[in-house]
Amino acid sequence: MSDRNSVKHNSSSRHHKQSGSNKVLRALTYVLTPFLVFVIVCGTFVLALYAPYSKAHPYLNTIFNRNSVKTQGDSQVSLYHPDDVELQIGEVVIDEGDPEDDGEKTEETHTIIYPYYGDRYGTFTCENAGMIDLPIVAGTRYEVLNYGIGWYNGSVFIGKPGNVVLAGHNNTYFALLFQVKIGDIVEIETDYCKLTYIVTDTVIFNYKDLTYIQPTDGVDRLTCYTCWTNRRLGVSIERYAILCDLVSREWKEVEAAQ
Amino acid sequence: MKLFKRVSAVVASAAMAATMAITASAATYEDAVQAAKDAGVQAHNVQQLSNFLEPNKDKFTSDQYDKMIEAVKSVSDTYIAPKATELFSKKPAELTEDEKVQIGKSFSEDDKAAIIKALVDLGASVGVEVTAEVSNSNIGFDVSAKFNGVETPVDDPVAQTGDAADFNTTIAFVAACAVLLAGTGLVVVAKKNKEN
Repeated sequence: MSDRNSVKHNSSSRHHKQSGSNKVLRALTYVLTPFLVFVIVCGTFVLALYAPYSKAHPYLNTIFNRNSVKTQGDSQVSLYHPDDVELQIGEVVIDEGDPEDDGEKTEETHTIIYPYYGDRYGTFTCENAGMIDLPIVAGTRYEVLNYGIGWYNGSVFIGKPGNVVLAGHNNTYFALLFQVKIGDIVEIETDYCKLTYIVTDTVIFNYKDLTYIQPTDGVDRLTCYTCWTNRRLGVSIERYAILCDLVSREWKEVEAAQ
Repeated sequence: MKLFKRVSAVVASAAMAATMAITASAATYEDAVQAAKDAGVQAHNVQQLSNFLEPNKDKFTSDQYDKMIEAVKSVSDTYIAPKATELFSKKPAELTEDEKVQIGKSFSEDDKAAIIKALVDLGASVGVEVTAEVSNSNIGFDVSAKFNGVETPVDDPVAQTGDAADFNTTIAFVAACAVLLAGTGLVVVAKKNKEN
């Protein structure tokens, strides 16, 4: 009798325990299941949007005007040198003679202000394309290009004879480069000189093709390029470039500029 | 092409570094630039060297220029000249830009490592911090010369000019792990429910 009671008691206790653990499990299921489903939905969402986000990023930046913030601090980047560095001033001898002229060559000495990497270097204007006084900075590293059009430090200093190469992001400073037409006038102005060019050609080239960025042995040219994604925004292995010939070169008094 | 760009970029930056050496002869910065040209360094890297030297030309003695010329010549004689003769029967100074690229491609990994090490060591020996960090840039790494607190990076020949989303792959990895764990969790909970 007592054995039967004991068995009964054990069975009821087990049942009681089981029903207790069931309750816990049920409660856990109610809480855990929606949470896990939520995590799966969110995770899948992130994974699914990974690639589209990369493509949409420049457009989002443009829509939310994030690019304009970067354009405000265009006076000096100073990422690559202390604030108290001296101005680098030098003399350059420029052959002002007309190469097609058989006459004498006239050498003139002018003052040049050499830029430090990342510093503001000048301005870029192409009125016909709506590009007015856009800042030019020295260097073309990705972070530097956030502050302006970048002057490639493997091209000649602005004002010196040769190929001046400028690069810009296609969603900010060179967003309107595609609007530049052959025959348009492009002006580059620094603290020591002002150059006027005429656009003679536009090209699309692969980023491994160095034809257009190579020095030209004293032949004056301006090459401006940006990523070519068939007029969409984003990164590409192709570049769209405008090639320009020099029209005039004016030198300034550097003392006045300082 | 990448290999040669790497090498020539380091040649240029090491040449920059070499100009900071402490010594005194008759060479000028133009000589140093010409030496780089004669050594078969790619034209845009020679221009980078010139752009570095020109603002600082009066800060160096001719001995320093000599040292730089010697370093560039040594690299050329050891690595570039034999390849130029073997592949094109030319001297380094006579190579076209395309031929320079071909020579760059022909370098072994050991050659490249030796050139880079020799030139970066040269920079270090004259008090210029020359760095060549592996990167996603199109020359394979970021080369930079730092002196007196002023850093002069060697730009990629063709820059990245599209707006790239700085979206970290870690985010994708974490999301994938979360999905996996949550899925496993759901299966476990469902199994437990079934058992009871």
